[in-house]
Amino acid sequence: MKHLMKEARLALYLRGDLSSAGYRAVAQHVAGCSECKGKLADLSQSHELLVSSFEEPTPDELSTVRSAVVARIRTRSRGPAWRIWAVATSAVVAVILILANLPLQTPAPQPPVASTAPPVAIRISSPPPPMIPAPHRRIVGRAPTMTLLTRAERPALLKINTSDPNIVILWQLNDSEKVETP
Amino acid sequence: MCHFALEPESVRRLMQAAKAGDLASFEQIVVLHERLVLRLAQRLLPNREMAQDAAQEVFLRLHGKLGKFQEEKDLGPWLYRITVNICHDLRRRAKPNVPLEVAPVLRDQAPDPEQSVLFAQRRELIAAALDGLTPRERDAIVLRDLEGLSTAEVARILGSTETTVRSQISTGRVKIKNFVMARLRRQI
Repeated sequence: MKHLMKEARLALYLRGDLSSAGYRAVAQHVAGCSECKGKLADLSQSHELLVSSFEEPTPDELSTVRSAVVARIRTRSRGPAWRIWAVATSAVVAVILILANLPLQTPAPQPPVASTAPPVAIRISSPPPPMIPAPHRRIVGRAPTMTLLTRAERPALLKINTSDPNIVILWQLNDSEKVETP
Repeated sequence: MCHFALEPESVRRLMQAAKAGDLASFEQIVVLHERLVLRLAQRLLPNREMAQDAAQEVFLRLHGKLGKFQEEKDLGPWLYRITVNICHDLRRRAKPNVPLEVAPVLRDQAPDPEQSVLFAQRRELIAAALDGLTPRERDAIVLRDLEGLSTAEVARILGSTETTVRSQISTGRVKIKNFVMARLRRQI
Protein backbone atom coordinates (compact mmCIF):
# COMPACT_ATOMS: atom_id res chain seq x y z
CA MET A 1 0.00 0.00 0.00
CA LYS A 2 1.28 3.44 -0.90
CA HIS A 3 2.38 5.30 2.26
CA LEU A 4 0.77 8.72 2.42
CA MET A 5 -0.02 9.18 6.11
CA LYS A 6 1.73 12.03 7.90
CA GLU A 7 2.98 11.35 11.41
CA ALA A 8 1.21 14.46 12.75
CA ARG A 9 -2.09 12.98 11.63
CA LEU A 10 -1.31 9.75 13.45
CA ALA A 11 -0.52 11.80 16.55
CA LEU A 12 -4.00 13.35 16.40
CA TYR A 13 -5.61 9.98 15.70
CA LEU A 14 -4.01 8.61 18.86
CA ARG A 15 -6.43 10.39 21.20
CA GLY A 16 -9.39 11.14 18.97
CA ASP A 17 -8.45 14.67 17.96
CA LEU A 18 -9.66 14.19 14.38
CA SER A 19 -13.09 14.60 12.86
CA SER A 20 -15.05 11.36 12.54
CA ALA A 21 -14.34 11.25 8.80
CA GLY A 22 -10.61 11.85 9.42
CA TYR A 23 -10.58 9.23 12.14
CA ARG A 24 -12.13 6.61 9.85
CA ALA A 25 -9.65 7.41 7.07
CA VAL A 26 -6.62 7.00 9.36
CA ALA A 27 -8.01 3.81 10.91
CA GLN A 28 -8.50 2.36 7.46
CA HIS A 29 -4.97 3.30 6.43
CA VAL A 30 -3.28 2.03 9.58
CA ALA A 31 -5.06 -1.32 9.22
CA GLY A 32 -3.16 -1.96 6.02
CA CYS A 33 0.17 -0.17 6.66
CA SER A 34 2.70 -1.83 8.93
CA GLU A 35 4.97 1.25 8.97
CA CYS A 36 2.18 3.49 10.26
CA LYS A 37 1.12 0.75 12.67
CA GLY A 38 4.66 0.82 14.09
CA LYS A 39 4.68 4.61 14.37
CA LEU A 40 1.31 4.55 16.08
CA ALA A 41 2.62 1.97 18.56
CA ASP A 42 5.60 4.24 19.35
CA LEU A 43 3.32 7.25 19.79
CA SER A 44 1.13 5.21 22.07
CA GLN A 45 4.10 4.01 24.13
CA SER A 46 5.53 7.51 24.61
CA HIS A 47 2.06 8.79 25.51
CA GLU A 48 1.67 6.09 28.17
CA LEU A 49 5.08 7.05 29.54
CA LEU A 50 4.10 10.71 29.65
CA VAL A 51 0.83 10.09 31.46
CA SER A 52 2.35 7.73 34.03
CA SER A 53 5.32 9.95 34.87
CA PHE A 54 3.46 12.51 36.95
CA GLU A 55 2.04 11.93 40.37
CA GLU A 56 -0.61 13.95 42.19
CA PRO A 57 0.40 16.65 44.69
CA THR A 58 0.76 15.27 48.20
CA PRO A 59 -1.50 16.44 51.07
CA ASP A 60 1.56 18.09 52.68
CA GLU A 61 2.27 20.12 49.57
CA LEU A 62 -1.36 21.23 49.31
CA SER A 63 -1.45 22.19 52.96
CA THR A 64 1.81 24.17 52.64
CA VAL A 65 0.43 26.20 49.75
CA ARG A 66 -2.87 26.86 51.52
CA SER A 67 -1.24 27.99 54.78
CA ALA A 68 1.19 30.26 52.95
CA VAL A 69 -1.62 31.87 50.95
CA VAL A 70 -3.77 32.52 54.02
CA ALA A 71 -0.79 33.89 55.98
CA ARG A 72 0.16 36.25 53.16
CA ILE A 73 -3.41 37.52 52.79
CA ARG A 74 -3.56 38.20 56.53
CA THR A 75 -0.26 40.13 56.39
CA ARG A 76 -1.38 42.01 53.30
CA SER A 77 -4.70 43.06 54.85
CA ARG A 78 -2.88 44.47 57.90
CA GLY A 79 -0.59 46.47 55.65
CA PRO A 80 3.16 46.88 56.03
CA ALA A 81 4.47 47.98 59.43
CA TRP A 82 5.94 51.25 58.09
CA ARG A 83 2.53 52.31 56.83
CA ILE A 84 0.90 51.71 60.21
CA TRP A 85 3.60 53.79 61.90
CA ALA A 86 3.33 56.53 59.30
CA VAL A 87 -0.45 56.79 59.76
CA ALA A 88 -0.17 56.81 63.56
CA THR A 89 2.56 59.47 63.55
CA SER A 90 0.62 61.65 61.12
CA ALA A 91 -2.47 61.42 63.32
CA VAL A 92 -0.53 62.46 66.43
CA VAL A 93 1.12 65.39 64.64
CA ALA A 94 -2.25 66.52 63.28
CA VAL A 95 -3.83 66.48 66.74
CA ILE A 96 -0.91 68.47 68.22
CA LEU A 97 -1.13 71.09 65.47
CA ILE A 98 -4.89 71.44 65.89
CA LEU A 99 -4.59 71.84 69.65
CA ALA A 100 -1.75 74.38 69.35
CA ASN A 101 -3.73 76.57 66.96
CA LEU A 102 -7.10 76.56 68.68
CA PRO A 103 -8.10 80.24 69.22
CA LEU A 104 -8.96 81.26 72.72
CA GLN A 105 -12.66 81.88 73.19
CA THR A 106 -13.22 85.60 73.10
CA PRO A 107 -16.67 87.14 73.24
CA ALA A 108 -17.86 88.37 69.90
CA PRO A 109 -18.15 92.19 69.74
CA GLN A 110 -21.72 93.26 70.40
CA PRO A 111 -23.30 95.94 68.24
CA PRO A 112 -24.10 99.13 70.11
CA VAL A 113 -27.65 99.24 71.39
CA ALA A 114 -29.46 102.55 71.70
CA SER A 115 -30.67 103.02 75.22
CA THR A 116 -33.99 104.68 75.98
CA ALA A 117 -33.29 105.07 79.68
CA PRO A 118 -32.08 108.43 80.91
CA PRO A 119 -28.39 108.68 81.54
CA VAL A 120 -27.34 107.87 85.02
CA ALA A 121 -24.50 109.73 86.60
CA ILE A 122 -21.82 107.35 87.74
CA ARG A 123 -19.41 108.41 90.30
CA ILE A 124 -16.03 106.89 89.93
CA SER A 125 -14.30 106.64 93.21
CA SER A 126 -11.04 105.10 91.94
CA PRO A 127 -9.49 104.50 88.49
CA PRO A 128 -10.02 101.03 86.98
CA PRO A 129 -7.09 98.60 87.15
CA PRO A 130 -4.91 98.53 84.00
CA MET A 131 -5.70 95.80 81.43
CA ILE A 132 -3.07 93.10 81.40
CA PRO A 133 -3.13 91.02 78.23
CA ALA A 134 -3.61 87.34 78.92
CA PRO A 135 -0.66 85.19 77.99
CA HIS A 136 -0.94 83.47 74.56
CA ARG A 137 -3.95 85.54 73.77
CA ARG A 138 -4.43 85.73 70.03
CA ILE A 139 -4.86 89.03 68.34
CA VAL A 140 -7.90 88.75 66.17
CA GLY A 141 -9.24 90.93 63.46
CA ARG A 142 -6.25 91.11 61.11
CA ALA A 143 -7.28 90.11 57.59
CA PRO A 144 -5.28 87.19 56.13
CA THR A 145 -3.12 88.09 53.15
CA MET A 146 -1.40 85.98 50.50
CA THR A 147 1.85 86.75 48.71
CA LEU A 148 3.35 84.74 45.85
CA LEU A 149 7.11 84.38 46.17
CA THR A 150 8.80 83.26 42.97
CA ARG A 151 12.33 81.91 43.08
CA ALA A 152 14.74 81.24 40.23
CA GLU A 153 14.71 77.55 39.19
CA ARG A 154 12.89 76.59 42.34
CA PRO A 155 9.21 76.01 43.03
CA ALA A 156 7.23 79.12 43.87
CA LEU A 157 6.07 79.70 47.43
CA LEU A 158 2.70 81.02 48.49
CA LYS A 159 3.05 82.96 51.73
CA ILE A 160 -0.17 83.20 53.72
CA ASN A 161 -0.27 85.58 56.65
CA THR A 162 -2.98 84.36 58.96
CA SER A 163 -4.99 86.45 61.37
CA ASP A 164 -2.43 85.44 63.99
CA PRO A 165 0.90 87.23 63.35
CA ASN A 166 2.65 84.26 64.95
CA ILE A 167 1.41 81.91 62.22
CA VAL A 168 2.60 82.22 58.65
CA ILE A 169 1.90 79.42 56.19
CA LEU A 170 4.38 78.81 53.41
CA TRP A 171 2.92 76.61 50.63
CA GLN A 172 5.33 75.22 48.07
CA LEU A 173 3.57 75.05 44.71
CA ASN A 174 3.97 72.21 42.26
CA ASP A 175 4.45 72.92 38.57
CA SER A 176 0.84 71.92 37.94
CA GLU A 177 -0.58 74.39 40.45
CA LYS A 178 -1.37 77.88 39.33
CA VAL A 179 -2.17 80.87 41.42
CA GLU A 180 -4.33 83.56 40.03
CA THR A 181 -3.00 86.88 41.14
CA PRO A 182 -5.19 89.97 40.82
CA MET B 1 -16.94 23.45 30.61
CA CYS B 2 -18.33 20.74 32.84
CA HIS B 3 -14.76 19.79 33.76
CA PHE B 4 -14.58 22.86 36.00
CA ALA B 5 -17.88 22.33 37.79
CA LEU B 6 -17.34 21.87 41.51
CA GLU B 7 -20.68 21.98 43.32
CA PRO B 8 -21.66 25.28 41.71
CA GLU B 9 -24.11 26.36 44.40
CA SER B 10 -21.66 25.97 47.26
CA VAL B 11 -18.90 27.64 45.28
CA ARG B 12 -21.24 30.54 44.52
CA ARG B 13 -22.02 30.98 48.23
CA LEU B 14 -18.34 30.80 49.12
CA MET B 15 -17.50 33.35 46.44
CA GLN B 16 -20.08 35.80 47.77
CA ALA B 17 -18.77 35.46 51.32
CA ALA B 18 -15.16 35.74 50.19
CA LYS B 19 -15.96 38.87 48.18
CA ALA B 20 -17.42 40.33 51.38
CA GLY B 21 -14.05 39.74 53.05
CA ASP B 22 -14.57 36.38 54.75
CA LEU B 23 -11.13 34.76 54.76
CA ALA B 24 -12.46 31.36 55.90
CA SER B 25 -14.66 31.21 52.79
CA PHE B 26 -11.73 32.12 50.60
CA GLU B 27 -9.73 29.35 52.24
CA GLN B 28 -12.52 26.93 51.29
CA ILE B 29 -12.29 28.12 47.68
CA VAL B 30 -8.55 27.41 47.85
CA VAL B 31 -9.25 23.92 49.19
CA LEU B 32 -11.62 23.22 46.27
CA HIS B 33 -9.11 24.29 43.62
CA GLU B 34 -5.66 23.77 45.11
CA ARG B 35 -5.19 20.29 43.63
CA LEU B 36 -5.99 21.51 40.13
CA VAL B 37 -3.64 24.50 40.40
CA LEU B 38 -0.70 22.76 42.07
CA ARG B 39 -0.90 19.69 39.81
CA LEU B 40 -0.88 21.86 36.69
CA ALA B 41 2.04 23.92 38.02
CA GLN B 42 3.99 20.74 38.82
CA ARG B 43 3.50 19.57 35.24
CA LEU B 44 4.56 22.86 33.73
CA LEU B 45 7.56 23.65 35.92
CA PRO B 46 10.84 21.82 36.40
CA ASN B 47 10.62 21.38 40.17
CA ARG B 48 8.11 21.24 42.97
CA GLU B 49 9.34 24.29 44.88
CA MET B 50 8.70 26.45 41.85
CA ALA B 51 5.29 24.84 41.47
CA GLN B 52 4.39 25.71 45.07
CA ASP B 53 5.48 29.32 44.51
CA ALA B 54 3.35 29.44 41.37
CA ALA B 55 0.30 28.02 43.15
CA GLN B 56 0.62 30.58 45.95
CA GLU B 57 0.86 33.39 43.43
CA VAL B 58 -2.24 32.11 41.61
CA PHE B 59 -4.36 32.17 44.77
CA LEU B 60 -3.05 35.56 45.87
CA ARG B 61 -4.03 36.97 42.47
CA LEU B 62 -7.40 35.28 42.77
CA HIS B 63 -7.94 36.95 46.14
CA GLY B 64 -7.10 40.32 44.64
CA LYS B 65 -9.53 39.83 41.74
CA LEU B 66 -12.49 38.14 43.45
CA GLY B 67 -14.70 41.12 42.75
CA LYS B 68 -14.41 40.72 39.00
CA PHE B 69 -15.97 37.24 38.91
CA GLN B 70 -19.62 37.46 37.97
CA GLU B 71 -20.24 33.73 38.10
CA GLU B 72 -18.48 30.81 39.73
CA LYS B 73 -18.19 29.01 36.37
CA ASP B 74 -15.68 31.67 35.27
CA LEU B 75 -13.34 30.57 38.04
CA GLY B 76 -12.03 27.26 36.62
CA PRO B 77 -10.92 28.56 33.20
CA TRP B 78 -9.43 31.64 34.85
CA LEU B 79 -7.42 29.47 37.27
CA TYR B 80 -6.07 27.35 34.40
CA ARG B 81 -5.18 30.44 32.37
CA ILE B 82 -3.52 32.32 35.21
CA THR B 83 -1.60 29.22 36.33
CA VAL B 84 -0.22 28.76 32.82
CA ASN B 85 0.79 32.43 32.64
CA ILE B 86 2.44 32.46 36.06
CA CYS B 87 4.35 29.27 35.25
CA HIS B 88 5.61 30.91 32.05
CA ASP B 89 6.83 33.93 34.04
CA LEU B 90 8.57 31.72 36.60
CA ARG B 91 10.29 29.66 33.90
CA ARG B 92 11.49 32.81 32.18
CA ARG B 93 12.85 34.27 35.41
CA ALA B 94 14.45 30.98 36.53
CA LYS B 95 18.10 30.31 35.86
CA PRO B 96 18.61 28.68 32.47
CA ASN B 97 19.75 25.36 33.92
CA VAL B 98 17.27 24.71 36.68
CA PRO B 99 17.88 21.09 37.62
CA LEU B 100 14.99 18.83 36.78
CA GLU B 101 13.59 17.22 39.86
CA VAL B 102 13.12 13.51 39.59
CA ALA B 103 9.98 12.77 41.54
CA PRO B 104 11.52 12.94 45.03
CA VAL B 105 8.25 12.28 46.81
CA LEU B 106 7.48 9.05 45.08
CA ARG B 107 11.09 7.96 45.22
CA ASP B 108 11.10 8.37 49.00
CA GLN B 109 7.72 6.79 49.61
CA ALA B 110 7.69 3.90 47.17
CA PRO B 111 8.03 0.58 49.02
CA ASP B 112 9.99 -1.03 46.21
CA PRO B 113 13.34 0.70 45.60
CA GLU B 114 13.68 -0.85 42.15
CA GLN B 115 10.28 0.47 41.14
CA SER B 116 11.10 3.92 42.44
CA VAL B 117 14.36 4.02 40.48
CA LEU B 118 12.49 3.00 37.33
CA PHE B 119 9.92 5.68 37.97
CA ALA B 120 12.62 8.28 38.51
CA GLN B 121 14.27 7.35 35.22
CA ARG B 122 10.97 7.54 33.40
CA ARG B 123 10.20 10.91 34.94
CA GLU B 124 13.61 12.22 33.97
CA LEU B 125 13.15 10.99 30.42
CA ILE B 126 9.74 12.66 30.07
CA ALA B 127 10.95 15.87 31.71
CA ALA B 128 13.79 16.06 29.19
CA ALA B 129 11.36 15.35 26.33
CA LEU B 130 9.01 18.11 27.52
CA ASP B 131 11.98 20.47 27.72
CA GLY B 132 12.41 20.05 23.97
CA LEU B 133 8.96 21.52 23.27
CA THR B 134 8.15 25.17 22.75
CA PRO B 135 6.27 26.73 25.69
CA ARG B 136 3.00 26.69 23.74
CA GLU B 137 3.43 23.05 22.68
CA ARG B 138 4.13 22.13 26.26
CA ASP B 139 1.04 24.00 27.50
CA ALA B 140 -1.15 22.30 24.91
CA ILE B 141 0.23 18.83 25.68
CA VAL B 142 -0.08 19.26 29.44
CA LEU B 143 -3.64 20.59 29.25
CA ARG B 144 -4.85 18.07 26.66
CA ASP B 145 -2.93 14.88 27.48
CA LEU B 146 -2.28 15.25 31.20
CA GLU B 147 -5.21 17.38 32.39
CA GLY B 148 -7.59 15.68 29.95
CA LEU B 149 -9.24 18.88 28.69
CA SER B 150 -10.85 18.96 25.25
CA THR B 151 -9.17 20.78 22.37
CA ALA B 152 -11.85 23.49 22.58
CA GLU B 153 -11.19 24.01 26.30
CA VAL B 154 -7.43 24.17 25.74
CA ALA B 155 -7.93 26.73 22.96
CA ARG B 156 -10.09 28.88 25.22
CA ILE B 157 -7.57 28.74 28.08
CA LEU B 158 -4.61 29.56 25.86
CA GLY B 159 -6.51 32.24 23.96
CA SER B 160 -5.94 30.40 20.71
CA THR B 161 -7.89 28.57 18.02
CA GLU B 162 -8.68 24.86 17.98
CA THR B 163 -6.73 24.47 14.74
CA THR B 164 -3.61 25.99 16.30
CA VAL B 165 -3.98 23.86 19.43
CA ARG B 166 -4.41 20.70 17.32
CA SER B 167 -1.24 21.56 15.44
CA GLN B 168 0.66 22.16 18.72
CA ILE B 169 -0.62 18.88 20.15
CA SER B 170 0.36 16.81 17.12
CA THR B 171 3.82 18.42 16.86
CA GLY B 172 4.34 18.00 20.60
CA ARG B 173 3.34 14.33 20.58
CA VAL B 174 5.64 13.55 17.65
CA LYS B 175 8.57 15.38 19.29
CA ILE B 176 8.07 13.50 22.56
CA LYS B 177 7.80 10.20 20.72
CA ASN B 178 10.99 10.85 18.74
CA PHE B 179 12.93 11.86 21.86
CA VAL B 180 11.71 8.95 23.99
CA MET B 181 12.23 6.33 21.29
CA ALA B 182 15.72 7.62 20.47
CA ARG B 183 16.72 7.37 24.13
CA LEU B 184 15.15 3.96 24.64
CA ARG B 185 16.84 2.54 21.51
CA ARG B 186 20.20 3.95 22.64
CA GLN B 187 19.79 2.15 25.97
CA ILE B 188 19.04 -1.20 24.34
